Amino acid sequence: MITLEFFAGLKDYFPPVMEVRETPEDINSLRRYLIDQQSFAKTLLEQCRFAIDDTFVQEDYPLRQGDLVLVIPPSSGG
Amino acid sequence: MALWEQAHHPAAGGVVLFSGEVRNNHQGKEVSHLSYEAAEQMANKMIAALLDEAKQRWELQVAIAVHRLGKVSVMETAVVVITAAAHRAEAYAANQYIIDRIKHHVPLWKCEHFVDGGREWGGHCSCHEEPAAEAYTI
Repeated sequence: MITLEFFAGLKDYFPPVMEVRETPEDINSLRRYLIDQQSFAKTLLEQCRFAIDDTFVQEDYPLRQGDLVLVIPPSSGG
Repeated sequence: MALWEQAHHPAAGGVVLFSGEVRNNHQGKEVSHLSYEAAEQMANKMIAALLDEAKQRWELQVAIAVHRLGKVSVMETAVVVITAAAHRAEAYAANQYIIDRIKHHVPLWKCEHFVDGGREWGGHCSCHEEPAAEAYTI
């Protein structure tokens, strides 16, 4: 199982925190899983970055049981 | 004023203060206020690392960046960046670099709330060095 944390506009499609029982193989698999769950959020999910331990991770980053993954929409501070 | 008091240094001849403030309109729509949220721990770490990087790159005496979260009203300051260097060129360059990185890379988000009741997540950044975040309207 992994835990996901969603931010900003993603919270219109997902709860702020969500658990995924079956740990996806990597970030790419997680992205595809989320798009399957919420196809209306496809465009936004395709633009998102993902972070673990407060560090951005790449598409092939292998996920492990217990990971807390931040799902990061495009930044818009300032 | 408290931040400005930290901006001065005996070796700094140029001090630049950027204040990002809330505008009352966006693409013809009247804005009532903005709200900001962040992946707070990660954003704080990234801003600290960014300030360290800028300090080294431009030999700054002072580098400060503070971004507000939550509701920010029209004409209020949402983000402040202060840079101080021996000369103005370095202070200006570093300041622009820091605010650009904050807008494009740090996990911070604005939501515009309009007078007509609608809201819109996303950016309307005027930078051209890279595409601004695509806005998504609710």
